[in-house]
Amino acid sequence: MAETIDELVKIKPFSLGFEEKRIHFMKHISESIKFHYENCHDYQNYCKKKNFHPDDIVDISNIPFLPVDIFKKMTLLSVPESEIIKIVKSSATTSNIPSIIHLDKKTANRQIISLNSILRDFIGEEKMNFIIIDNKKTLETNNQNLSSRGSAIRGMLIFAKKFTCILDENLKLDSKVISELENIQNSKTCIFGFSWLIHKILSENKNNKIFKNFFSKTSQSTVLHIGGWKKLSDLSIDKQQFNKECSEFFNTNDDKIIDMYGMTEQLGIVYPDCKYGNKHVPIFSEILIRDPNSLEIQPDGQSGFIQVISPIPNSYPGISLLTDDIGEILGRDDCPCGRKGTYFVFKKRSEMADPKGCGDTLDI
Amino acid sequence: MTLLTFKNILSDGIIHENLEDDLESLIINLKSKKEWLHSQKVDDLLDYFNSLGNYWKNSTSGNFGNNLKHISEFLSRENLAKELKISLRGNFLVLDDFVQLFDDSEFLYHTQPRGISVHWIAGNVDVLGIFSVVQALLTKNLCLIKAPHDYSLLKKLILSFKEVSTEKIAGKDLLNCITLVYVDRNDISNQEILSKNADIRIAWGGEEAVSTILSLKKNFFTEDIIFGPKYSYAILDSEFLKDNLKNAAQRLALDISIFDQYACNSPHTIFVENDDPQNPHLVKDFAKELSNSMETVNRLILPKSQISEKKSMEILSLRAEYDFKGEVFAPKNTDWTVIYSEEDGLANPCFSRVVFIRPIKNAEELGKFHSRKIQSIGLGISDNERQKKLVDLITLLGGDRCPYVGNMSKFHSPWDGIFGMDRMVRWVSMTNQ
Repeated sequence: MAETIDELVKIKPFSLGFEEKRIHFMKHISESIKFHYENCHDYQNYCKKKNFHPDDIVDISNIPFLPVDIFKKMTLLSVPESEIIKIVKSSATTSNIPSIIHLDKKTANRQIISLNSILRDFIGEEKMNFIIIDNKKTLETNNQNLSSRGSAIRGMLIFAKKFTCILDENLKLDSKVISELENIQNSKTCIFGFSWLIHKILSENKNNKIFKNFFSKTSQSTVLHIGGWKKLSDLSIDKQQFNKECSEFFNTNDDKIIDMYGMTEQLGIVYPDCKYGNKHVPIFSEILIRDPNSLEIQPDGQSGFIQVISPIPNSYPGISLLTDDIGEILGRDDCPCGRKGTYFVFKKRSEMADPKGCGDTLDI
Repeated sequence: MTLLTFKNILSDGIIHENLEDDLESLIINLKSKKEWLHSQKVDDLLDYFNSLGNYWKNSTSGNFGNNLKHISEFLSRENLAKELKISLRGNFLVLDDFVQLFDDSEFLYHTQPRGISVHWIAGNVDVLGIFSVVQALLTKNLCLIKAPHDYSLLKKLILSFKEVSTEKIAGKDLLNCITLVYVDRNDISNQEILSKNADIRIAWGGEEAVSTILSLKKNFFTEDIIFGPKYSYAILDSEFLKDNLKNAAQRLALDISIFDQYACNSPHTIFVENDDPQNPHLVKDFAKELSNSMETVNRLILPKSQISEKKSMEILSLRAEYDFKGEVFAPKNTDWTVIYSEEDGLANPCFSRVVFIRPIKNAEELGKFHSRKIQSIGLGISDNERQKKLVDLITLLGGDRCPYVGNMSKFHSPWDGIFGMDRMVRWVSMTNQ
């Protein structure tokens, strides 16, 4: 049994069966809740209003959740402000207001270790050359502030032997970098980027002979992509189509294209697709699916809001978050890929369907 | 997949649901009913609508929805005659003939219908659209209705016209004066045909939808009647609540729950004035009482319909925000939400039975939040004289109707500041010889 959360994140992420994992997870999530309850006054009040005390926890389903966009509206801290080393902002796709997440050293370290541990399970131990579908300026920080894109890219660089950002400042393919890429042509390569940005680049460069020629000489690159399914859904692009575009352009197989689900509000935890198209929950997080109207826990096989629970956040109480993403738990411990624990599918971002009428004033 | 852009849903009294028909031909056909409608007597039309209201009220087979109680009351002969009389300068027989108005012996007056009334009906308040259709028919205007995307209830209501007949009017004849079509908002060509053929453009909808309709080309003499976009709220004072706490909560729960707050007359904020030092918890007590009533209304009278995932998340997010900075009264599901906070001003509407309760020191100060976007102000004020002064003060810049709480959803004229039926007719004068 891992004694601390920091030890927990060192366990192989998909090595424990659901029941065994549950014992570890309950211990650490209970400690984490207690920590936030004692150190974040607002969170304590919130729990009290939900008639919840950390000592009463019997199951993860009775841990109060915060809607994920609460971090767009307020700052919640469980450590003194002086301990904050980094502030990460989300992409603000839907509301134009970003979530602002304050990270202390402990949280940042846990995030690095957990991300490392999850991704190693999918892409292996060997460091690779990374081709980043973004501009290098995205990685720059401004007074501790970092965009979620920048943060995700930085997180990936621990797997990189060398990396090259291949977009210019206008987020267009930069043909000037092709000479840099020639040097990595025959080595193991990983292409990483945000899903919507990769789609944009692929759409704009269907006839770009320079890059197509380059990728025709690389073989079987791994493509890791994350974030932006909202934008792709708006364009009616589904995963199958996206994978087809990717495999054609980057000259790789479908099963080398890995979609990762994750969010700024719980950085460090990603849920990558296995080759059977299932997303796997690591040992240091758990998910629940809630009915969008009743908010009751859905049985496996039924879709609803994805609730993500993890003891990793230390500086802010983002340990139990209800997302507006719709998913479905497919099973536990029995995915043909061999990974243990819960596995699920991400289905879509929640959609706006309510009509507005004569009461719809844009502002008052 | 072909996107649906135009559909003839109902014309000539028959359901067509036809994608192939041509809108201009439908309009030509509709115009051919003009003389028949003009020849009907207003008394006979009043009888007909009274019978239709009774039919809807008593219909168990049709399942016409929960919001029809108000419509049935609106359709009563007594109510419609009053509405007509107020709108048409005291004498609704002016619709049939040249008549004298007030003490003017020099002229006789008569109203003519303007012609074709085109109704753009918002999806969330399809039943409200019936109000403008009835008013248009009473003033002898033909009706071309642009249905919302989900038009099943509206179609059912319109089609049921033929189930009702009176001694003088057969419902099927009146139904012939209505054409119901679906035109996609992006089908600019057919939207323009609707607009160009309208003698009256009646738009029910939000800011974006109404702006789009108003930007369509129209004839020089076309009359525009805009219903929405509007915001409504309520004011209660402590003296009033002393004897009416429960009653006010029950009545407001109905105002909030009808149309799930998507209508322009649905309250989003309830201001409670508390100058009673003996009862510092009055406002919160009212919030609690309202939450009880919201639950009762949801359970027994107006069950909440399914909402989108996005709206559900919006509600949960708002609840969490106010769990931190106010107090939230809500069930575990998203059926209704009462939010108490000590913030100033009008709360941004969330719709979907989310209401904000805010204490206020002095209701007279609410005028500063008024603009033409304010429609209904539900009132629970103990002192009549103060109420009149208060309403005069706060409605100077906006605010069109100030019903007693519980009556906010009752349609009556003026609505949005206008007597609709007056705007639906063309006045003709003739020297009285």
